[in-house]
Amino acid sequence: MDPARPRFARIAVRALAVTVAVASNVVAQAISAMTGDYGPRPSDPGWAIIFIAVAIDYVVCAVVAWRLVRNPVPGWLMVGAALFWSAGAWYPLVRQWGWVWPWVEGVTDLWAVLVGILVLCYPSGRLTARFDRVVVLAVSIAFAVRLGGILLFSSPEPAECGCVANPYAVLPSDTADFWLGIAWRAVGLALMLTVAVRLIGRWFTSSLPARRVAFVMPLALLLWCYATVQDSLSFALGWDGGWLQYIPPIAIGLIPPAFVAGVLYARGLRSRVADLVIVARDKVDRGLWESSLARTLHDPSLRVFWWDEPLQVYQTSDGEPAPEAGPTQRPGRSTLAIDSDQGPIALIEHDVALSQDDRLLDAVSSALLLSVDNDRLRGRLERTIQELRESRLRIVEEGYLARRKLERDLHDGSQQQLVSLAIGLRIATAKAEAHGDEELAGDLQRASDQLADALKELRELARGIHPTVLTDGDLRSAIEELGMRSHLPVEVHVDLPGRLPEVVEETIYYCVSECLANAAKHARARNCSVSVTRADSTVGVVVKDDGQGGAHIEPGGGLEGLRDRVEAVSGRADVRSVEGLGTIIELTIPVGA
Amino acid sequence: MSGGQTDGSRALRVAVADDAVLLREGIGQILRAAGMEVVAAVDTAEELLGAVAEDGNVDAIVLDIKMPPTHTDEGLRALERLRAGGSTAGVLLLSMYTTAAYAIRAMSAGSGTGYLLKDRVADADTLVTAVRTVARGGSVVDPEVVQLLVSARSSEAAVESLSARERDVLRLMAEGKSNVGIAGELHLSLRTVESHIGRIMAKLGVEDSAEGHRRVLAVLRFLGRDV
Repeated sequence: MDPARPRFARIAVRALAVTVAVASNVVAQAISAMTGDYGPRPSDPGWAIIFIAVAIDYVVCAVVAWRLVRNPVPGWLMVGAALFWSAGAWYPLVRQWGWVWPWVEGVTDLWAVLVGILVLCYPSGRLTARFDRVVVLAVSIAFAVRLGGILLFSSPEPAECGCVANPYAVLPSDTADFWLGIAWRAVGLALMLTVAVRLIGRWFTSSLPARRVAFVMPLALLLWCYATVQDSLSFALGWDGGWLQYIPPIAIGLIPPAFVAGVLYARGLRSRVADLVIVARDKVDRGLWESSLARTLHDPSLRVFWWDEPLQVYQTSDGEPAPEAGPTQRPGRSTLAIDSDQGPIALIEHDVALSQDDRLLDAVSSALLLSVDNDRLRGRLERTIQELRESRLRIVEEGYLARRKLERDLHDGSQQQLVSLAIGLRIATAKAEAHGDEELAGDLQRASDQLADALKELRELARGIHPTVLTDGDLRSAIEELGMRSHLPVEVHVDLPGRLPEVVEETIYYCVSECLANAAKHARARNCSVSVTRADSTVGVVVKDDGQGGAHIEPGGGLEGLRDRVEAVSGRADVRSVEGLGTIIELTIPVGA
Repeated sequence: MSGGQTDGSRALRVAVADDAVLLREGIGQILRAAGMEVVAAVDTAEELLGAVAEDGNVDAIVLDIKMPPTHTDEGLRALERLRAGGSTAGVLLLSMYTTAAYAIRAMSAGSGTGYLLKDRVADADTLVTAVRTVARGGSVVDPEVVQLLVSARSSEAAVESLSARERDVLRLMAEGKSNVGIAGELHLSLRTVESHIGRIMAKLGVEDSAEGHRRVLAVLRFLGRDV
């Protein structure tokens, strides 16, 4: 399905709602001004402007809230409040229509109900606490009763209200209407005071971040409470508040900006959470992460308990364990468990105010997950490389030992036996000659010759399996042997205090052999030098020739095989070969201190 | 097979050391068949040294290079200890592989030393001749070692400048042959051989010292270079 269409429809619906809400206020005020009929409300242009300003204030905040909060409810509550805000202005204009005015009068206070719900669902748009839901339910019932009361009982004298008779009033009763009005205001005031007291109490007992997050809301609510009291008093006693009557609309107008400002502030925190990812980019320094998070969220009391995999407990970076009974039991504190699919990562104990914003905590979670996952991946990669390195070395070592054993077995077994057999044949030949059996002597001699060839082949084979020169002598004599066998004059310099690990010696032997063969065959060198020196925990091998240069490591080439051999023992091979200037091959192999 | 005694005097007294029993027995058999007296057949260098010292009159020793306990160069070390102890008995080292460094190390020990591939023992004449050569103070170097070294140097100007005949002479010199031996092998007169040798030494730039192991060593060192 095309996602653009519902989005467009959504925008259109919202634009229509905003337009209707604003138009309703402007038109009502304009008609009132033109007819001069304000009913029981104050009748001057200043008031008209204040009323319209409050409505516009609400719809502007609604648009902002729709953008800021994932849940569209706060925006709709604001638009709804703006729309019903105009109901009071419409009442005098429709009182000539009996079937309309009781409804309009009935919903005159609906905006207050919506604003109340808005306050309670701050900041996520959901009623999270049970208390809040009870309050909303109570105020809704009270409102429904009040609306029903107006419809059923309200039957004012036409002379008094200037209106026609209420067609819905099946039980006209001024008394019931009057007392229901009083009760409605009392209940509304009580509920509002409860909410205000709760918010203010929370504000005073909470820590710094909570106060910052909801700084205007309690103030606005208090003002509104005052305004309601004043309104109720003027309704009940007909008291005129003078300039104080301007306070209620201002207080009411303050509520949605307070809502939006609080959300914006939290959003600012969220964007700063992104910085945490940078803090943890290289490696999660747990102490630094905790202090950065505390600073970012403006919650100095925040603590991070990291999951310790071996101990199976949460503890701080200093090793202090998480409280036994669970940190959730501490008043005003809340915890956020961060888990990955690999298991628990951390427990963040923070001010309860921060949990009002899921997105903020989501961002914190994501930042930490990202950092820790990165860390884990890096660790796993390093471990894997290390394991690979070790297993490769083990394989090379095993191969070395197996080949050496094979050569030893050949030497001590087959080769010795074949030489003995050759001696036996020789003796038999001598005897045959002594007995004058020339034919037998000839047969035996041919067998001896074949055996000599077989022995020679076996010897070459054994030498290829393992350079006995390494086990017979040391690396120096082995390399000198290579130098002697080479077709080039080779200057050999071996400076080693003792023996190297056998695998390393064999690696160096084969590499030097390869280098010398290359120098003679491809480089057309005239001179060559080999130097083997030990420096602390590495052995360095340098093979130089004065040949034509231009050698480089290429796939499938001899130098690649050389590099593979060296890397198998965790070493490094560098080739410096300049056209016309010869070649220098340098091997660096770690050999443990 | 020639007779047991070279000069009509007593039979050569030979000691054999090899940890492979079959081989040791075979070598003993060949030597006895050639009229020599095998005075000791042991399987370690230590036992050999003990037996030689006890006997006090051993003419030649046939010695495996690799023996217990380390199976590396026990034979060579035994040779060096014998020479250090003043023994002039001929020593023939046997090895399963040819190693030029070992050949040179063996020659460096002094005269009456030989270095042969084990395979050669099957060729009875080679073994017997080699034992006799070292017993009278001559030198023996396995042809394979020499061949290897000469071919490794064959591209070098000095070796390249030698004629085919001169190269043959060089090889036989390196194998420890005397001038007379070379003349016999190549069917040349002694004078011709001597003049070949003079030219070879001049071309290689090696000092033409007297015959014997010094000459062998000089030639091997030239071929082996820097060793």
